[in-house]
Amino acid sequence: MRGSLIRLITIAVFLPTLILMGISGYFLYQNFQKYQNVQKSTQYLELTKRLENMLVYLGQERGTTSIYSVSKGSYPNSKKILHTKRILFSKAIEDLRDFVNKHPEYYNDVKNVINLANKLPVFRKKIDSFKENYIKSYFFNYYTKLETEIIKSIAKIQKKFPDTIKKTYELKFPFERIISFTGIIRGFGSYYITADTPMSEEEYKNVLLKYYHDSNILPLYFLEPKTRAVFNSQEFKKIEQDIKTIMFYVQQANMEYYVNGEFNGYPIDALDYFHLFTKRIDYFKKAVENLNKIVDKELQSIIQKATQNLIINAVIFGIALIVFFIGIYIVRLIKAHIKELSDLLTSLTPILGKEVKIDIGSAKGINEAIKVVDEAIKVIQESVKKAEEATKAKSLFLANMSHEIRTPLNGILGFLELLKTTELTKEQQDYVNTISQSAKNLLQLVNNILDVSKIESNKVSLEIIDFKAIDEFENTLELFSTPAAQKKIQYVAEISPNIPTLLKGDILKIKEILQNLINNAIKFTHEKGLISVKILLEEIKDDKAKIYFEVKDTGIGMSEEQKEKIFEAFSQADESVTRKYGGTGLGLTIVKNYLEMMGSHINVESEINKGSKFYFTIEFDVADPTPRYKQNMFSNTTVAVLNTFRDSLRKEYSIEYLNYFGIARIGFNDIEELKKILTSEKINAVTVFYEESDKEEISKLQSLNLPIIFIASYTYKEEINKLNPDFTIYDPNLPTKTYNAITTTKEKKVVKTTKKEIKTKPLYQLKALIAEDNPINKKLLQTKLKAMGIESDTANNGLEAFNKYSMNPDKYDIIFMDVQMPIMDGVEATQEIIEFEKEEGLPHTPIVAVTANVLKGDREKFIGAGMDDYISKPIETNELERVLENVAKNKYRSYEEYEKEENTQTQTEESSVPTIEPVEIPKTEEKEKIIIASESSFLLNYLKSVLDVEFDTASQITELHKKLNKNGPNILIIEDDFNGADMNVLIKSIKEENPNTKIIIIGEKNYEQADGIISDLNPETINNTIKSVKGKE
Amino acid sequence: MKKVIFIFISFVFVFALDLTFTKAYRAFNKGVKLHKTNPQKAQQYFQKAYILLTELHEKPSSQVYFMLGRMYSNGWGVERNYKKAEEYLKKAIKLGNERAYCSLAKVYIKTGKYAKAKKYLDYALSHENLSNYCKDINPNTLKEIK
Repeated sequence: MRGSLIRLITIAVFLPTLILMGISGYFLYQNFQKYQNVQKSTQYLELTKRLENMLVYLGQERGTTSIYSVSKGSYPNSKKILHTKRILFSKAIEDLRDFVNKHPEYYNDVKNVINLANKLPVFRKKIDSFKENYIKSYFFNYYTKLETEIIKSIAKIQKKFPDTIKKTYELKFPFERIISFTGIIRGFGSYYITADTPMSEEEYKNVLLKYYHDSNILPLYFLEPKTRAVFNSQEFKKIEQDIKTIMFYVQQANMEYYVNGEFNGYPIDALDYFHLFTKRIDYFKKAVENLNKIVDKELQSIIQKATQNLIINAVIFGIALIVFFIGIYIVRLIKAHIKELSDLLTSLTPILGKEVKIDIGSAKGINEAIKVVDEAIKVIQESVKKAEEATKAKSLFLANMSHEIRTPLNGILGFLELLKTTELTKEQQDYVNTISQSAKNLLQLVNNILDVSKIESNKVSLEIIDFKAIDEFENTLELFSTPAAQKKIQYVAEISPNIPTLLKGDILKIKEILQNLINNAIKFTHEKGLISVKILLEEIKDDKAKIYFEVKDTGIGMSEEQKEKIFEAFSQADESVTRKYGGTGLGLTIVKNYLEMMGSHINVESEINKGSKFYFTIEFDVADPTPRYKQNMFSNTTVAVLNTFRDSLRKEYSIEYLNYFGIARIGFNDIEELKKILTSEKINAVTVFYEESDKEEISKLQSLNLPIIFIASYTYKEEINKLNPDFTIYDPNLPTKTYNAITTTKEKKVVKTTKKEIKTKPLYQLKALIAEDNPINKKLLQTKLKAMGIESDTANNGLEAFNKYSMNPDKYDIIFMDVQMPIMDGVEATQEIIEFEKEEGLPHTPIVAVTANVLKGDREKFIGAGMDDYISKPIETNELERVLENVAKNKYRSYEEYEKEENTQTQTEESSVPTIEPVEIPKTEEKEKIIIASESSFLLNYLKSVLDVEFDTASQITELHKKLNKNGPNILIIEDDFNGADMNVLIKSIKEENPNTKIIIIGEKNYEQADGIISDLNPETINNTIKSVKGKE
Repeated sequence: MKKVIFIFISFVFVFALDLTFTKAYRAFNKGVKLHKTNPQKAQQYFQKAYILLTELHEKPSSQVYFMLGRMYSNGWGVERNYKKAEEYLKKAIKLGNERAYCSLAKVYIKTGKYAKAKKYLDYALSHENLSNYCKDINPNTLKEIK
């Protein structure tokens, strides 16, 4: 049944078409035949007309020849008249001949007529000779014979007409006969009357009587009204009467001769006789003409109808034809589509294991097609599953990578740190630094790879937090001051000091971006090159700050082709770069992706051997629009600047900062000049651009009792230190550095350098339990804690940890719990411990999660599991200190314990250990009461560990109201849905009762009356939010 | 009986045609019929006929010429005038009237033109239906001519 579908369609399409075509074709043929017949009839009518014409003129010639012959041409005008009549008759014959010549197919119909007519000239001649008796020789033998033939032909032709016309045509006959007979009588009679001789008895009977008698039959009843009216007219009736009279006379005259043998002539004049009969003939001619007209009309209408029908039929047939062709086209189209589909499905058949040709035109084909499609769907589903599994595997890989790779790295870095704190020779220090740097690079590499993987797995999202803009930017830039100095690169920065204090954004990613760009700049710029970083506030519009970032260098530059390649993952400008400069080629990929996530994009301008410029713009929501540094805040300060022998970007930007702060500048060339200036002006400090100034003059400045601010690259640190500077601004100069320089010199405080210091170790007398399966990490942590004076026990997994704890619950002040451990992991162990504590009614030992996982959601997971805090691997010392301090301050106590001691508010501090605070942002002056309203003990515990401020707690609304300071200031940190209250109402009532209260909501919803919101448990965020709320007026 | 009917009908239809000729013909024939029995009446008819015929004079008619010829030949309704008779009869013959042959022959006999008379007589006698009209010619005269 191959192609049965196609066959079916073909049949369905063509069958009706063909039927239609057949029927219409049949009718078309019929109509065409009819039409042709009708056309033929027209021709026949033409022919008939010509024959009838001949009749008329034959009669006339015959008649006039009578008079002519009998008088042998002597009758006046008979010759002329006969001549005219002959011409007319000849023309009529000619007309017929013409017609037959044009349409030879009609020759047979008029063959006899033409043959006889051809003899006419001969007979005419004979007649003209007057030898024979005209009547006896020619009247009947030729003319009347010809006439008969003509009438016969007309009768024959009549049969060829369509039926409707035939009837009308038949009516003509009697009239034509009458005309003929009348003509005969006329010619015959007028001859004898002119001759004034009687007709022979024979002639009299056979001709006169016969024809006269016959000619009297008048078929009036056949006629249509008009013609009937003619024959009913008085005139015609008179003519008929006259003829009757005449015939009577003629008969009378002849009868007399036959009866008496006497002939006395005819009582009518020959010409009168002739004319009378001519008149009669005229009437009948008219009738014939009318009938001809009718026939004409009928024929016309038949023709019209036939033509119409023909056209209609032709159109229908044409339409049928068009439909037929459309059908062909459709079938072809369908065939093509079926074939296409079949081919497509055939191409899929390898799925079934074998190549089978599918033709969905057949039933078998459809079955196979279904099989193939089913199979294909299965295959696809499997592929999807596999892809999903692959993605899952990839995610798992990422997670494990984070942990597995970082763990040994953590070990390396950690112990290197420890090594650095031991006594080392210069050489050893050198080696340790190199190893440390390599390890840091490796860590950076790993982080980059993971970042790119995360980006590609779409596991990266923006974490928008409030951040201190200038501080963060400055910190980032500062990281590279040493590396730049090592390559003797002039490293300068232009940062708008009026950038809003707090911005909202993903600062971590921005820092990574800047680090990548500056890193590249340093990498690809040779010694004594220049790197300039710009972070400029473009505009603030609708609470959005547009910041322009730029990193420009005078490095090796890139070509157009290279520019396109650099953002692709793993591609660097070219292969030689990897060899020469190292790197993974991932940095810029990460930059590009991060910027795109922020709705920005990276732009590059570069020229080979001239340098490169990377720039982008980001729009930040403004959290605190106050400019970080107020413009002209040092407007009452004047600074003397030692003029330089050359300019530098460093100098340019530094002066810009001075200008922003409104600091007046006075330039001087040497110390003498300065002394002069001092007599008239108050100078707060001297600014020296070390590299660009005359060293002799600089050394002379020592003699003056003015604070000197040096601005130079880190390279010159040693030389500058020899000069006992009051303040040195090393590359890059930053708003904060300038600010510090001015404030320091103004207050003549002890200069603080921005060198990295190794902190002195704080000492605690605590006991720790370390749960860690990795021996290196275990050892590392133990050593670090030992250095802080903390003894620690270890466990290899969660179960061991639990056992060790439960056997001696009082022993440990803190438990460091690694999250990923065999047998029982950190989370489970924590839960077991907490349960154990609950059951036994034991005081809670703080549990700190130690994790390499920094994926989103992990922090919440740990807090939710019951951990009190967490630090990430590699373990940073200050994080460790923070956690230990919290423990020392008993900040991790459970809520109930805290309640008991609430009134006394004793903070136990380790008295023996003085702690040196690292350089931090200055504390606020005002003592605000901080209250945390929460029903969750875990939350309270966590906040205790995280916050570096003291606070009170409340778990009921009534309690809350009691604890709030009526006059304030208060900072209330309240969780959403506290006591199930309507927060809007609660906040309103609190603010009404305690006007000077700032309210921070812990939760997702931002309430109108609230002053801040903590939506995630990032310690930095929490502290920032509280500080920002504090700072708000 | 037929005669009576014919004559009766002829009177009825006499007014349908332009009957000048017919009237003339009737008058002439009446005269011919009566000229032996009632010459005076006949003359009246002939005169009437003559008047009518002269009306038709312009219209060429063999019959009119024939009648006029005979009238002039025999002095019917007119004064005998053989010349006019000859003229008219010749005209009639020209137009094809065959009865005129004998009449003309008679005229030639009367006027002594025997040769012409013979010609026309021969012609008349050679045509069978014409010979009837020569019946009243004197055989003796005929002999003489022959």
